[in-house]
Amino acid sequence: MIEANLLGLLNIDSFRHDLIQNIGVAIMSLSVIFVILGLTYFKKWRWLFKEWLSSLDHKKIGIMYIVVAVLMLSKAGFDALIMRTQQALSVGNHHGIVSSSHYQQIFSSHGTTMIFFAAMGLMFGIINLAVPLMIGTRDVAFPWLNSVSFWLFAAGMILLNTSLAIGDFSGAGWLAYPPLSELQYSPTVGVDYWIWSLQIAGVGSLLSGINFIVTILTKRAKGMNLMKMPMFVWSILGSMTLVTFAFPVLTATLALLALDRLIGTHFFTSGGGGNPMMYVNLIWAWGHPEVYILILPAFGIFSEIVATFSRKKLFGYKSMVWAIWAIVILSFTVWLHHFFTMGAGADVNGFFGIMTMIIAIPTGVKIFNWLFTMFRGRITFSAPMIWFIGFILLFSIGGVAGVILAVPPADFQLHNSLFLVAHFHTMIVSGVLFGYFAGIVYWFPKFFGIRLNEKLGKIAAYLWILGFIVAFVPLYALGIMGATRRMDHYSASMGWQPLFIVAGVGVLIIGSGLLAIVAQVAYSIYKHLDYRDKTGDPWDGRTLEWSIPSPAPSYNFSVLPTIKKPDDFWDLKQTNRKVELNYSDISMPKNSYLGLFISAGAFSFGFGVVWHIFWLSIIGLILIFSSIIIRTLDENTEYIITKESLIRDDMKFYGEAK
Amino acid sequence: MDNNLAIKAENSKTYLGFWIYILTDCVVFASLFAVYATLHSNTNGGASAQMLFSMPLALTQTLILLSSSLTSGLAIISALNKNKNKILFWTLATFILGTIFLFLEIREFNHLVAIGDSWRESGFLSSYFVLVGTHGLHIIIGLIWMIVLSFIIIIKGLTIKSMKGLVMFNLFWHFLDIVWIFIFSVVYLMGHMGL
Amino acid sequence: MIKERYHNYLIGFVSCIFLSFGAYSIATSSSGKTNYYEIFVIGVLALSQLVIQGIYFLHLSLQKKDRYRLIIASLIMLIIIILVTGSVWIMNNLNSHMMPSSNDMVKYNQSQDGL
Repeated sequence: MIEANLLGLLNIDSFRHDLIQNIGVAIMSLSVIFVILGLTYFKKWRWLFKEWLSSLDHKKIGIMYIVVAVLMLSKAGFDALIMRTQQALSVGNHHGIVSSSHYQQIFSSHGTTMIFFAAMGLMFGIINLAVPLMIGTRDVAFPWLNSVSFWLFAAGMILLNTSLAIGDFSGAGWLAYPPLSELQYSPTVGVDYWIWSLQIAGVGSLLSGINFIVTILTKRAKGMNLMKMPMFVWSILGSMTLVTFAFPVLTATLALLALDRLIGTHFFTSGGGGNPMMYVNLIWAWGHPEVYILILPAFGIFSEIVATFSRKKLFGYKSMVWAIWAIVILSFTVWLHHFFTMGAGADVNGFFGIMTMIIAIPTGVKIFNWLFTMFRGRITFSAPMIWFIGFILLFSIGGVAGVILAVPPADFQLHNSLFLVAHFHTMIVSGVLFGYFAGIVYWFPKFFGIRLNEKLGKIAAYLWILGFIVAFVPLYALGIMGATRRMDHYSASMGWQPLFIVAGVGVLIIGSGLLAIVAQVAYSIYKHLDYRDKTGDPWDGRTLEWSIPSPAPSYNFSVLPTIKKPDDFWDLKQTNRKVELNYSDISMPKNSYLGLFISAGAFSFGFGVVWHIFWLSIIGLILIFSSIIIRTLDENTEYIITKESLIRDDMKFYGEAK
Repeated sequence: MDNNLAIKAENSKTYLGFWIYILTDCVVFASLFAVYATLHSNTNGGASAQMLFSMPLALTQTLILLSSSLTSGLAIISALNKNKNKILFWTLATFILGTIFLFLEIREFNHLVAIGDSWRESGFLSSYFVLVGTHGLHIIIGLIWMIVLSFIIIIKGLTIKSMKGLVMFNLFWHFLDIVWIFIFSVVYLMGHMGL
Repeated sequence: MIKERYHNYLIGFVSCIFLSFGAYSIATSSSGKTNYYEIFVIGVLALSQLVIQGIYFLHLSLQKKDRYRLIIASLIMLIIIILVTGSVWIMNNLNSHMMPSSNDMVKYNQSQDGL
């Protein structure tokens, strides 16, 4: 197993690819070179490292998460574009634009990137930005760990994208079912890339999950007991609980698959006493909670947005909290519905089918609570609200499709068809992604100090909603007509091509929606003088983050708030209650480069294991462990911000506003 | 009493965070146990649990680990009494017991591989090696941790930081003992009874 | 307080020793044939060691300062029970619906005097 060769399996053939992939590599390398040249030309290297890469400020880490996630969203969006083009063209004698094996890699990479690096990245970004501000604290419980989490996420992302240029990527789908993903059937390094990039990013997510649970449990503002927390914080507590419960299962499962491929164990092999079905069971025991890990924060964002833009307090606070915890527990009791067709008996399938239908109930409770919050409210249709309207419409449709799929006999017909693909895209695009976009538009002024252009924001939202309908409604129809997923070619006699072309047009509309978002941000930054947020409270908000200046200062709160009521800031504005400001010196965490070192170590470890360059892996491990030990020995990790400079900052912002 | 550094360390948010981490590790082991439960009868025509494992050895390992759990607890008692030398003494005792345990485990693994029952032979042996081996890997990490911790205590004395390290290590070591009880019961005892 | 902890450790240690020996003697004195009653007892002994170590070594209690630790631990135990029993149930069910391997089929046919 262990090669005598210093470079392991790596050789010149690892760099040879077909045309489309070469174009991808060229685009990627050119953009990296472009960024490096730009940084050198503007002499920004020092600024980049000092202000951003080494930062332990949760807001900066959050922004870095979002930057990485948007890059990954566009990259996986290109994958989607290629797939749609392929399926629109590859009919009969025409074989489309990519080969079958390359097509497999593209859909695997699309799913993996979207879930692990786009959706998870946006999620952790928004959590990092908003949660500490909403609970009235200056930082997360473990700032250094937070930076390590981000850097592990980044290392996983870089490893995944390295596969484009060096070697190949997994062609076994986004969950790499064995026996296809075993060494016997996938002898190249593709699956190893998949395993190790997820493993590294997954450990980062796990640490983040622990960090935010402890933050929410121990660092809330004085007087904010659990039932006075904003609903977004509740949903994050639920989601992070799911992260800490579910991600270890992923870690274990990936490790077992890796052992199968590395040292010849027989966990999931088809021979030698292995059981591939166990992999499917375990990966979905993580995979189903993962869906709720992503959707709960979106629910939380919408809870805040609906209450703010309806000028009413959230309807049914307690039922919302119970719904979240019901979802947390129930999401661990439904995982079998992803493999009804694997051959379990009617008793098992029946049980999990019923549990799946039950989990729709708490989600329904939440939908009705939002509707009742809007009922008789003074609603402002700002861009975040447009996203919400799109969400509630499409998400309900997708949810109903999900309940259809929860019926085992129906699932036997629809399993692995495009109907299923359309269903989960409805949940993840119009549920998760719309929620995160709404959240970014909503909180943008708080972190950049400028509001976003409303008109372009609304255009973006409408384009996404329209594009989504055009792209995915045909897939529901195609699925019922029998089109399966992961198909790179079909016979002309099936009559599917017109619908596939419509779906392709839909992807183009979605793409223009993405461009509209970019244009919105770019235009608002260009016109930043007009769009300055001078009050710190642009939406007339209800929660604590709007009580501080925009952009939020590095220490968040010059004086830590004390809470008396739920939606305390709103109450404060309504009753003109006076708050005493007792300034005092505060200490904040110093920057640390060790996160970067750990990231480099994790990447070397992963790359070494993928290519069997074991000396590189050992160097990586040493780098990781020595960074941890250095950090434990470091006593000097905080710096002081004086009372006077806090007062000066506050005077500056609020003085200007008046 | 509340000013006692060891008590402070146990009430710190670091300890709560580490507690949650330990619970996530429990889920890792739970997954491995589930895999073992599914694969333990897939012997692929090779050896089964009933044929392979030595019961007295497993009992010895259990008793050693249990004693080391006690000694690591006594280190905490010494920390409550602010007795630096006793902390180091009990940590050393824990370290020695842990090393003996690890030695016995490695010897057993070597023996199994030597008689031709390595992890490559069957699903059962794969899951056995990985379940017990993951526990062994944790023991190795614990041993390294003890070395680093002792140095920190020797150099920096009984600070809040070193006390946090001590109580977290103690939790980690108790957790490993609890996991071993389940390995002992499920893999060795139930295996011996032919489940 | 320190004395109480000390006693707790000793109580926990001694009872765990007893329980381990108990489980061991049940296992070694069994006939070698699978006896689900005995296996159940061994499982219960292991679980009681978990509870004893939780109380006496990890000093979990119902006090307010332990609240979060206890809630998270119980939640995780619930999830672990769901995961492990669920997986075993599902996998046994799936295996029982699998077509037997050719090896097993030959054995089965021979036992039925079929061939």
